Amino acid sequence: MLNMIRMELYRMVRMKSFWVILIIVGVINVITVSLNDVIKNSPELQQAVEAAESEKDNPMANIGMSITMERNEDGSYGFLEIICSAAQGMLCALFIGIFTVIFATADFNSGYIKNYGGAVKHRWQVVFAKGTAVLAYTVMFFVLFIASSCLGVFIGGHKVVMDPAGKIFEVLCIQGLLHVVFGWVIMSLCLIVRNNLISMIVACCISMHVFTALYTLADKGLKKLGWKSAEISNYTVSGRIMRYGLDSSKILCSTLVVAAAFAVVSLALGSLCVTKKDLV
Amino acid sequence: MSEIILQTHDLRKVYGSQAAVDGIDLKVERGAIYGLIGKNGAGKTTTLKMIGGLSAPTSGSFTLFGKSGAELAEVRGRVSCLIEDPGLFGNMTAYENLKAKCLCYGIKGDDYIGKLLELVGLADVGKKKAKHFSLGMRQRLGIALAMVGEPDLLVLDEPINGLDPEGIVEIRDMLTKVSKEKGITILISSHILEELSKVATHYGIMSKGRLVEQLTAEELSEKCSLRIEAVVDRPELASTVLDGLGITNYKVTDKETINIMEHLDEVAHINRELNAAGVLVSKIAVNNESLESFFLSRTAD
Repeated sequence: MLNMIRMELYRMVRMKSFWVILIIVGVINVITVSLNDVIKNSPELQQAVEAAESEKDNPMANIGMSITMERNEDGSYGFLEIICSAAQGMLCALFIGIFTVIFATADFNSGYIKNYGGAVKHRWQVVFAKGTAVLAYTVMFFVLFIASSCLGVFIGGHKVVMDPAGKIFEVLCIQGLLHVVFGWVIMSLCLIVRNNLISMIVACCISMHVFTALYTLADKGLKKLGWKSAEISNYTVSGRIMRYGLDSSKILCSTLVVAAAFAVVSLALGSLCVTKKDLV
Repeated sequence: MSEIILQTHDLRKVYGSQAAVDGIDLKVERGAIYGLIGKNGAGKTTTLKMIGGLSAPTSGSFTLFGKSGAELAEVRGRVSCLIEDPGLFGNMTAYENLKAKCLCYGIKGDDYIGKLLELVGLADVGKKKAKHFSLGMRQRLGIALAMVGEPDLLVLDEPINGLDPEGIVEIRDMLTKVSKEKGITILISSHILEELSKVATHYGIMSKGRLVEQLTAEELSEKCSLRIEAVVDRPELASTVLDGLGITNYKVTDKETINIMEHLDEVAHINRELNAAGVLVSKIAVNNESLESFFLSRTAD
């Protein structure tokens, strides 16, 4: 198992997409954060904000990404604000999802799985080794994202104010965990459908809130059935990613339960699929 | 008798309503180079996939190194395979492709990878990305990958596909060498009997998902060699006649058939002498069945 994890980590860092995604995210993040003031004051953005405001009463669903990094009154940025704005806006999830699809299906698409898949003692180990690599990628992604955001703030001439260490630890751990589980869900989807395109579309749709319409429809159905406070998105990993922010300690336990449930189900389904289905 | 390291029992694989492999029973002895031969679509690849652990049988079972069922997991690591096209990461070099599998097997050391690359003739292009490899080079790298961990059973599906004549000879020699020197048993498939006949020690002929014949290299050679085949009513008396004619290289193969491997241009004389001795000869002719015609006769629709 340990050897398989070593192999997955080795091939992960040898993948071109690993570096391309990290470099692009890092560079874009530095640029957008450092130009935050300019972007905020740009006429295009002002128009977009006004349009979004006017759409609020519109029954049409809004999809897409919305990331807002609020500044403190003294012009500084809170450390957690930097983390939460991108994480809750699903920007991190989008890139983690994209990489996971490319990574998880690479050995199936190239046929490399044939070189070792038949020789492993238990096939579920394949899924757990991939899952460990996704976890490692998520950690690296967060480190890079935070570092590039802070760099962008400094370049923009602002300061980063540290929040209480306990709070930073809590939010980082929970958001990190939710993103890892999100990666595992996408990874398992890849292993089940064995189709890059479908998996990529689903990953992007979840990150871009395209499934909001489906959740709303399901909520309406459940409300009609008697569950008056039904809110499906509250019980999804993506929903929790969007909700868990600076003042979310009260939903800590339920968030952990949702994350654990999705982790167990996705890894179990992925393992079952890899064990039962032919590898080629 | 050598140890049987692989034995299948009524192995079947069904896709939808189509049986790709329809109840085959094959036996592979330790140290053998077992050639599985059949036309395209005969079920060779599916059989190898099941043996290689990549695909599960629909029914039937097989024993590997004396283990079967749930115990198979214990010996899976002793089997390595190259099925269909070599599975390679195009953006990784030959060295990196091998390194990844070595890590999976817990093998350390660049020397090991260097030796493997040398073994398959890719030592000079180890740092070249696999996507720039020719079909032959990919095939060689696939074989090198299959050799990682020095498996006891090597399963190769058409490994000489795409190789140039020189490459075919090299791979053939390499397979013979590893089989003899390292005692690796090789299960190799091909649809070209001529090529297999240069390396295989045993054969299994497949047609329409079934194993129609299993034979050793000696038996195949006997069946395909130039000889006089005589069908007689009294083989013992016929043997005495042949001894009297000074013919020693002959063999009584069944109750009625005698194969004579010498004096091939004296068919009429032998026939006359047998008749004169009171042996009824119902058929006598020079048989020159080639490997190709032998194969075609066994796999005919």
